[in-house]
Amino acid sequence: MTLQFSRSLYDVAAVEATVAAFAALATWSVSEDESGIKVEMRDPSGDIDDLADHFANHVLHTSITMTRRAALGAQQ
Amino acid sequence: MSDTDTQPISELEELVFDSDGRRVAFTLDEELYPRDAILGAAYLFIDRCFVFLARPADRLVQVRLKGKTDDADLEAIAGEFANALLDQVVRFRVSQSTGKLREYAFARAFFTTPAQSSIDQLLAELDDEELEEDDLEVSVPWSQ
Repeated sequence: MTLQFSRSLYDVAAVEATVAAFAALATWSVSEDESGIKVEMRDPSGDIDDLADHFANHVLHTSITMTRRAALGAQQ
Repeated sequence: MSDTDTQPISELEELVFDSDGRRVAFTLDEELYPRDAILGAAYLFIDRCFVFLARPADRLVQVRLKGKTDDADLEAIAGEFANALLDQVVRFRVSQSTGKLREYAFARAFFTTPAQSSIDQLLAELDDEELEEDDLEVSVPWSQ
């Protein structure tokens, strides 16, 4: 299964941080191209339903948190 | 139906439900809803549903919501998302319009070093007034 994240909405660092956090639950590979950030999920753990959705939520949460921290840092 | 009748336009017409009924999607124009406002609203819903953002075209953001349970009321969640989005837009606009003023107030509060605080200044003024001579003793008749 491949997840596609827009670079203008999601942070690459957030995707990488989420891959590290979810490493035990599936095999993940990240690549970037003009259309955005692609994450391929293989061999997902059967223990968790909607793993890809949990992954995407985590990426979004981390992206927003990172963006806000960066904005606060820039103001100070 | 007469010509004067208006067809009510449902806000939910633009909601697109997936075939399994667990997902709903709608597209937002960034000219109306700034990206930060969309992200702000999305952040508020992460704990309630799965939120995925996509960019189908320039200036457009597609929001996809998926219920965490089979019985999630997606229509209601989408409506609440729309309300939260408006709230975020207002916050964003107010933040933008008052940004300079806020920066000025903070800069003045933190980066100016007055010789005396305003309270100290007032107390000093009061002391000065009390020390001034009052030949007619008009100001203190009740203290005797």
